[in-house]
Amino acid sequence: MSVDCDPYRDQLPDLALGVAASDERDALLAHVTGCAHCASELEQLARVVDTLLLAAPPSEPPAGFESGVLRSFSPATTRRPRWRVLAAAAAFVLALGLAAGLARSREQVPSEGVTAGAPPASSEPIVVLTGALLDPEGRAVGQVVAHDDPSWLTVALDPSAPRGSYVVTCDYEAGDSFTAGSLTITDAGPAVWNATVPIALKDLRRVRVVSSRGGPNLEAAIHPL
Amino acid sequence: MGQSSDEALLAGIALGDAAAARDLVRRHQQRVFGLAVAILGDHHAAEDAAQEAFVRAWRRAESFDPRRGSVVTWLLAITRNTAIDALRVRRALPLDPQDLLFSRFASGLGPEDRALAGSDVDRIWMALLDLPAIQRDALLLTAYFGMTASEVAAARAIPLGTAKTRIRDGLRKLRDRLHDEETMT
Repeated sequence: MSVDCDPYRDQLPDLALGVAASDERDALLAHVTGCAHCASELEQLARVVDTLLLAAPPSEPPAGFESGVLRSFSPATTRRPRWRVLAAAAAFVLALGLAAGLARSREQVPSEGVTAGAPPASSEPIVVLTGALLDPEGRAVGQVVAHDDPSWLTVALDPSAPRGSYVVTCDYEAGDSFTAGSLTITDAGPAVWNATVPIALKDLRRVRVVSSRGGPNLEAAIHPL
Repeated sequence: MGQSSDEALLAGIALGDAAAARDLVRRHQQRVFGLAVAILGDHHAAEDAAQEAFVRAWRRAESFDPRRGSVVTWLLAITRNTAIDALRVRRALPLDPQDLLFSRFASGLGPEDRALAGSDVDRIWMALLDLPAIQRDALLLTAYFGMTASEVAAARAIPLGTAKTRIRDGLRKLRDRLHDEETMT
């Protein structure tokens, strides 16, 4: 440990507990990456936090819990909790509102072959796909909503989403991938990232939000809303 | 399959093995559901959260890294995060964190606890009981309910700096106590 550690060492518990303020978190992570002593202490503290969860009293789940969980292992019959459906619906409505605003302003923002724009008005049945955007610890940091034909993609970000620069990549059922654009999350936002894409999304299975600078990658498994 | 390690079951789940999924659920459902109940305080909401936690674990089975901890602590970390997500939607803290402590001793040790008795669970609770109550309270609010120092300060009507100190000192003391016990045994 060196004198350089002093400003950071005190805050390591915040990082281990996942409650470091966003501006502090980036500086802490940068320091820990280059400091073996602080990296070791952070690992110890994080293990204690994980172990602490073992202290919750076990409880017998209701009858049918096991079969309910196992039904969820089949993507075709996944039963999502009501609050998750509500969150997805909220993200969808938010995306529609944002896109409508963009349409009114007639702005088209080019970005690596991708344009921010509006979902089209259509009388056709709406095909909407969605998935919770998870960080490496399985924590939901946003919601992905995709509309097919024509295709647009929305990433609604929670305030807890890790700051950084990312590339948004779509993975398809057949195994091929498509880069939908780039995204930078700062303290100022965006709360919603929206883009139209030139290829169909109905076979979309996963959206990856990959850090450009070695930070945590985010990922959403996609399923019908 | 009953003898398979958690790591082997998780590897099977990553390959789509339904039997491995069933065994992992049977092995850990009480602990996952118990943690969800502890955080949400409501069995119906906890059932949703626990189910979602297993689904998230299944989706991320390939990313499990055994160097960072055991499957059960990884599964519980996912459960905590899932329950906290649900808690934020509800915007209500159902339990005083000290209730965790009381329910623990009121219910006594179950069969699964006894399997761990003398190791993780007992050691954690003894170490927690050793903490000053105000540090234990702040630490449980943060570790179980995902509250930031600002939220702890508001909930307990204390200055932000005091909340930060209680959380940080509490976690360090807990680490030191657990480390001391490991050294002694």
